Amino acid sequence: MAYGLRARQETEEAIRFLRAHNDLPVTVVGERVNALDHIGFGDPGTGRWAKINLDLLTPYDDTLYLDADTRIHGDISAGLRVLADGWDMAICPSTKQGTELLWHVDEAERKATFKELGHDLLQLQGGVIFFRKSPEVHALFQAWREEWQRWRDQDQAALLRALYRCPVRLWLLDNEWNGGSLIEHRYGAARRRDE
Amino acid sequence: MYIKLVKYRRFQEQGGAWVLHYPGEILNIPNKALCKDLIKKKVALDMSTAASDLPKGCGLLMKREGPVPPWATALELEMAQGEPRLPFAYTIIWDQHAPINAEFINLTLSLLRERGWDLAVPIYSYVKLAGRLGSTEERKATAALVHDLRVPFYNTDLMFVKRNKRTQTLMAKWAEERKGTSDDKLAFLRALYVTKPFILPLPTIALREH
Repeated sequence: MAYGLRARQETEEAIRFLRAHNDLPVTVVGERVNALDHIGFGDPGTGRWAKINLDLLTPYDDTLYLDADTRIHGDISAGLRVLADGWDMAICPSTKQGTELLWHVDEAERKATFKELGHDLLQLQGGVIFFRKSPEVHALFQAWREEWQRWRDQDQAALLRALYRCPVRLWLLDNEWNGGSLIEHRYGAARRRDE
Repeated sequence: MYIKLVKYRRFQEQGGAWVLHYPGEILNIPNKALCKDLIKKKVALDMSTAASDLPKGCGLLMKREGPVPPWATALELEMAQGEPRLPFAYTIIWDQHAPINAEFINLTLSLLRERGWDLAVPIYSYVKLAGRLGSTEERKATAALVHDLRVPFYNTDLMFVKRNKRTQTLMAKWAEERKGTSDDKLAFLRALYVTKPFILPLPTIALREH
C-alpha cells in the first residue's frame, strides 16, 4: 500500500528487503513505486480503505499483505504454505493485550467494541496478514468494510468486530512474524506527515 | 443464592477468615438478604436467570475428579468427567487446576451458538512458543506439519466446544496424537492443523491468575 511520499519510500525499502530473502511477485496498491506491478485505487485517507478492500484488489489466490514499514529478514514461505494447506488466514496477536487492548483506537469505538463483543478480546495485528481467496475470507473482508465505516478510523477494532461475525480458519503466528526478528515493523514510518 | 461479583468484596468464610473475592467470580451465598443488598448496591449480579441465557445442552467436562464448582451449579450445567470428549451439544472442557475467569463462560457459549465458530480456546502465552514444548522428536514432527514453530499454542486446560462433525474429528485426532506423546498441547496443535476447524482464539485472561 503506498499513499504519499513516505509510504512510497518505505514500500521501496520493504520490497528490497523482501527480495533479499524471498522470490515472490509483488503488487503495490495506490501510487506507483518504480516499475513495480501496480493497482491504482483511490483512497481519500491513510490507505486503510484500500487495505480492507484487499480481497477484491489482490491479483493473487494466496496473498501476503505487508505494511510498507515492515522489513523482512528471512524466508517467509511457511506463511504461504499454511494457506496452501487450507487455512484461510494467518496473522499475529498484537503485543498490546489486557489493559493496553485497542489503546490506539478512539475511545467511543473502543467502548462500543467491548460492549458489542462482551469480554476481553485477543487483539490481532493487521500489519502482516497472510490470506487466501475463499468465501469465508470474502465474507470477513466485507464485514470488515462495514465495521470500519462506522468510525472510519483505525482498522483493528473493526477487524475484531468483523471476525466475531464472520469466522475464518485462523492460524496464529508469533510476533516474530510482525515486529520481531523475522519481520521487523517500523510502526508509523510510512504515515503521511499530516496524520 | 448464586451471585456474580462485579466488584472486589471480602466475605467471611466458615471458620471466621475473611477472604477477598474478585469481579466475575460466581459465589453461592446462603444469606439471601445479603445477596439482595449486594445486587441493589451493584456489587453483584443475580445469577438466578443466567442459566436461561445459555444455549440448550451445555455441560462441563472436568478432566479430574473433584467437586462441582459453584459457577457450574449456578449455570445449571450438566456434568461429566474424564478425558477430553464431547458429551454435550456445547461442552466446556476444563482442567480444574487452572482457575477459570467466569466472565467468559456465558458470552463464549452464546457466541458459539450465534456465530459459526466451532470452538473457542485461550492461547497459553504471549511469549512462550510451540517451539519450546515437548521432546525434540515431537517438535520435529510438529514442525514438519505446521512448517514453523514460531507460533503461539492453545491452553487446552479450558476449551469451549460446539459439537459438530469438525469438532468430533478434531477430538478424535487429538486423542490419536496424544498417544505416546509427552505434550498434550503440542498434540492439540497438530490435530488442529490437520482438521482446521473454525477456532476463535481467546486471550490468556480467560484463565485468571489469582
